[in-house]
Amino acid sequence: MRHRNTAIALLVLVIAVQASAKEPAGPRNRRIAVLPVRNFAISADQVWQKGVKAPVPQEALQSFLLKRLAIEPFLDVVTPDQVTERVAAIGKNHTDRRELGLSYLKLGMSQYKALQVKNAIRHLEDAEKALFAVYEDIVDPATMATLSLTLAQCYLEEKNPDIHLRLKEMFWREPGRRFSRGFFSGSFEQAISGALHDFVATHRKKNPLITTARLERFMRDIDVAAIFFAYLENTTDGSGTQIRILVHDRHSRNVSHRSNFISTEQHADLDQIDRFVSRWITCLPPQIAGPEPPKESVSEVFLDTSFSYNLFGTLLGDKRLTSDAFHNLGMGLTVEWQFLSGLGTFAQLNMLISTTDPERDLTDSFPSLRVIGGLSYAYRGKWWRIFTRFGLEAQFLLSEFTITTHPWCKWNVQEKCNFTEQNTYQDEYMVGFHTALGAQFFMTPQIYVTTRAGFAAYILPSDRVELDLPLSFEVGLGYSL
Amino acid sequence: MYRSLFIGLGALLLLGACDASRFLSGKWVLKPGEQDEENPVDITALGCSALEGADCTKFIELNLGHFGAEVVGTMHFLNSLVTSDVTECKQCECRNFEAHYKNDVLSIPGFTDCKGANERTIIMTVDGNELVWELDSDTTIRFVRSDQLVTTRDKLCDECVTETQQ
Repeated sequence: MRHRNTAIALLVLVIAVQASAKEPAGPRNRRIAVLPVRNFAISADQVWQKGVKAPVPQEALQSFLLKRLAIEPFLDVVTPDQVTERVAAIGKNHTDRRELGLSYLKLGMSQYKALQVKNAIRHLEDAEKALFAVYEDIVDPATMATLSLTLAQCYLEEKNPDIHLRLKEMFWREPGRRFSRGFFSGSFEQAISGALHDFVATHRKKNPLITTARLERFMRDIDVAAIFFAYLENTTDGSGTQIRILVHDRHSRNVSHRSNFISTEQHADLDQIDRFVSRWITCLPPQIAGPEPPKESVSEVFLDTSFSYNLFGTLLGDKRLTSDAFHNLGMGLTVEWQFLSGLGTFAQLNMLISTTDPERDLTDSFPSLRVIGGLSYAYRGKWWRIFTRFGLEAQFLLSEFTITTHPWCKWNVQEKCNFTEQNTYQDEYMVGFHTALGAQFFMTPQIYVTTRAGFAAYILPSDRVELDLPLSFEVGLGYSL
Repeated sequence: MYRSLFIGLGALLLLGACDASRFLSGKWVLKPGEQDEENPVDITALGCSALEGADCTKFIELNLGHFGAEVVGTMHFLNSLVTSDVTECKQCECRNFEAHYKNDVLSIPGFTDCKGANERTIIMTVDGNELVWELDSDTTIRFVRSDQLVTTRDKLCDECVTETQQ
């Protein structure tokens, strides 16, 4: 008894803790992230001016963009610093993988310095894979640019033509990187200049996460609905600088919104950015522009009526009560209350009528009532839900009936009946453990077809085991409240 | 009403199985035209002796309860096609038996004659809707199913065995 009370108390505690951990079910603002603004407005001269402090117009642009977006009442703006925090909080695997990548990077760079170029390439490429997977190019682009640069230097030693791609990648990650003339070999300086020229002229600055799949995963991992990515670049004729803002959101695979080129020469760039943000807000579909709809409540009630088939498993064994199994047919009513995501409680009532067996060992059919209750564990997809249930089952046999295998008894000739081969059941009940596995298929958000298979093992009464191990199969139609 | 509905559904499900395992149940009487009022069956082969004063031409009626491979029943030997109350023990009035049924053959072991002796196994075969019993080399008896229900009285048989009516 004491153990039972302890178990109930623990269960209540677990449910209470989980319930308190739930997010409030009210409307939630749309969360958007602003990535660091990048300044691609670079020239060959600037690249070779290490030590000269370059103007950083991107900081003003980023600051204005953050302030402008924060005005919107239905937006929660995630700043670049908060993006870094959210990436760091993705999980332990993420952290471990980052640590591993940084270790490879450190090892690869030291091997390069020790002129172990082949080993350096191997470890730097491993570092690239690991760090790319944990969005290091977003949260620490300078480190990743250094990685690209070191790999390019290794490739030069190995005469690997990918040196050009690695140097372009370096400028994509950290366009503000500067170099001193004479620090590298002449051929490497030439490679840097060539890559810069190609990068400025041809590189498509579109997706900050490179691939669509990675972009979607990033937004999901840091739980944002959209990403703002702004950058500066030289105008086509090279006479000035222009701003471009790209918006990616989770509802479209490509860029969902793209600003026109905003020339910083017109001194009206901030107004144009303001108008772009307003246009983006206005053009969003109503369900996206407003606050996000409240997350679907996990609390849900499922009610279904089913056709039931039941068979006692002991009738299939060697020491069976009847020569052939008899069947039980009926209807069932089930109600399940899912009070936490995937966890619920259920109650089920079945009314059944037995059929007689072919050899009439069961002399008359009998009605029975099954009452089942317990816990339900479920996993839900878009249009389906699978569940397993565990609980207690009681079955009540509602009328008197006789089972016999003696033919004279079956023919109702009392004078010749061997009563030792005859069992009479009256007001019997059985209680035991129940388990079931089933699925629901939703035809509409509320209406579903359900099917389930169940099994029970009776433990009470301890001296009557002839009608035991019932197998049940049900098909029904249900409604989700 | 619901109970009938459920039982009906169950009966539909099990219709095939029930037919095969309950086929013989019911009352079987001599086939009209072959053994009729003018031609009752001579049961001398079953130990009846006219010399001992018995009327050995009888009308035979089978009442069977068929439960899978097991069959129980009574065989009545009647003086008339109309069943009369059995008020006293007469020679070869009736027999109880337990039989086996398999592959259209009804086998009744331990069937004794009117003196309660000479145990034999009677074999009947199913021929369409008829039960065929070759009583001896000259006599073949055919039974057909009767529309009448088997009553409690039909199932009763006081197997008083008389040596002779002396």
